[in-house]
Order: sequence, then C-alpha cells, then structure tokens
Amino acid sequence: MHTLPLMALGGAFAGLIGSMLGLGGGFIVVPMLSILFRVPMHAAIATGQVTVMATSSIAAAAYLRARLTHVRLGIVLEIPTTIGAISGAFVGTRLPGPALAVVFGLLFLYVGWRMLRGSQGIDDPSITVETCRIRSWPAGLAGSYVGGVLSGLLGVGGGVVKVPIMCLGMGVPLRIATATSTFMVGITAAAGAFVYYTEGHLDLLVGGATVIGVAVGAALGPRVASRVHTRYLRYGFVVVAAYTAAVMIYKNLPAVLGYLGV
Amino acid sequence: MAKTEREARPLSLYLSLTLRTGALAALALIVVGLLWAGASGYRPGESPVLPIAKLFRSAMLLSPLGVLNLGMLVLLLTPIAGLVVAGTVFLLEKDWRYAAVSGAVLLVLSAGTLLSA
Repeated sequence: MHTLPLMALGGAFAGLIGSMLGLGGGFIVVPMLSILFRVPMHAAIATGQVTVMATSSIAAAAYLRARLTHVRLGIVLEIPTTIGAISGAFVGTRLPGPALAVVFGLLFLYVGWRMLRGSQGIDDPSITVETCRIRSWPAGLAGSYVGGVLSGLLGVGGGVVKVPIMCLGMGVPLRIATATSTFMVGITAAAGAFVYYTEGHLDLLVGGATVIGVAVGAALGPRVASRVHTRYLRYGFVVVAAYTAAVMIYKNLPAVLGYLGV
Repeated sequence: MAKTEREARPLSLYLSLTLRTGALAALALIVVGLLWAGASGYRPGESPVLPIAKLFRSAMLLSPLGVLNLGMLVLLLTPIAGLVVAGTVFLLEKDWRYAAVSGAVLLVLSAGTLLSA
C-alpha cells in the first residue's frame, strides 16, 4: 500500500502551503483527503481537526514565547467559540457528507476572496498585549461563536473568521489577533475533535500519516517562504481554491437538492 | 506596566512549554504507532479510533493502533492541558475572574464530550 506515504506527502504539502499563507492545515487537508484520496467527508473533517491541533499547538507555543498572545482575551472568546464548535460538530456528524462538502466549498470561496483582497487589519507595532484596548466585545463574542461553528462543522481552525473579527470588530492589531487566534484554534478544534473522536469518525492511519506530514510541512514553511514570492503563491491559491470550491459544490449539490426534495 | 509584564511572563512561558511538550510527545507516539502499524500490515480505512475505556487495557496499549490512538489522545488533550495551566496560573495570581472564565471553558468542553459519549 502506497497510500499512507502519499497521504503524508500530501499533508506535508498542505502544511507547507498553509503555513506560508497563514492558514491552518485543515483548509487544504480536508478537500485533499476527500477529493484526491476519496476519504469519507466525516473522516476527512476529523483528520482536519487533529492536524489543526498539531499545527496550532506548535505555532501557539512560539507566539506565546514571543509574548504576542493575548491569553486573557483568547480565553474569554473561547466561551462562545467552544459552544459554537460543539454545536457545529453535533450538526456536522449528523449532516450527510455531500451537504458538508457544499458548505466547505462555499467557505473556500470566501477564503479565496479574502486572500485576493489581502490583509485589512491595523498593525501598529507600538501596541502590545498589555496596552491593547478592546473596542467592541459583542462583535468579538458573536464572531467567535461563528468561527467555532465553522471549526466544529468543517474541521478547520476558524482563524479566517476570528482574525478579521478581532482586527476589524475589536480593534486588536493584526499580529496580536493572529497569535491569539492560533492559541484559541487548538482549544476550539479540541471541542469539535472530541465529538468526532467519540463518534468514531477518526481513522487512525489516515489521521496519523496526515498529521505527521502537516507538522513537517508547517515546520519547513517559514524557511521556504523567505525564498518564494508569497504574492504569487496567494494568487495561485485563489485559483486552486476557486477550482476546488467549484468541484465540491458541483459534485455534491445534486445530492443536497435531492435531500431537500427540490 | 512593569508589574503586568512580570506577571504575564510565567503564564506565557508555562503555556508555551505545555503546548510544545504535549504536541511533540503526541507526534512522537504517532510516528512510532504509524511505523509499527505500517510494518504490521494495517491499511487506511480499517483503523477507527478505540473507545477510551478499551484503549487503556494493557494489551491494547501495547499494539500499533493502541500507540497511535494514545498519540491522538495526547494531541487532543494538549490544548486542554494548556487551559488547565492557564487557570492554575490565574488562581495563583488571585485573578479570580479569569480563573473562573478558564473554568467555564473547561466546563463547556467537558459538557460537549459527555454529551457526545
């Protein structure tokens, strides 16, 4: 069987590209396993969650040592986020695979669109964790719940929702928002991952091979990033994201319309 | 501000150490389990996770899938261990409000796990 080394290699590619673009491994891993390796959608999502936990724990440790993480803010926002992740995972484990694939495709379109627009956050280097003032709590709490639901439902970190909410809604500088979101992502993914774990959706070999690949790829990412124009990588990702989203929606929409009786 | 920095340092340091140690231990167990499972002829699609009660029987723990499964559990528990460390530091700093918030997140996580079990 050559599938396991190939999955590890695919994971390494996902980890490499993900870390260079500031995305957790889950975004690339879930469609890769589902489309290329024909892993059932629920098992792909469970694998996405464990890969997110590995990359988040390692990256969060580095951000914490650099003292860029607003731990108190992260823990407060984790209350709505974990509630969202658990509710998302409960719904996700009960939804049919094609419905999840369509929602994932739509999220991919959103991520591609955000990549195309580039960063929108403020980044004043004089603001530190200690001097950071929170502008609006309701926006942060509501946005965190949505990020949690996406994480539990689709096996992604949810940083694509949390970082913009913290930056634009709460006035947190981009690098503190990114560090805080990375710290939160592990806890959020744990909430959803336990639901998928106890319901038996995680395949140990698929998950293991992919996690190791992603961890190696994510470790290499920062070294490769300095030699590559990330702008071109971003445009390349947008094209691949649009194609992947189109494939996931096109292939699964008829089945979803069938469930709805349309 | 100097006082805040002194107080914040142990929290970031302990959290960083917990997350790094947990993730590396989990990855090491997963590598060992994967190589062992690969050598024993296991195939993807035939290796679902084990119920936790079954995993901690010694015969199961000393099998390729047992080691792999233990690695996954350590990975899943690592951020939760971080949360426990944060809560403990808040308690030691007598920061009752954030100790309570950490406890509330742990409570939500436990409730979710119990509901799905």
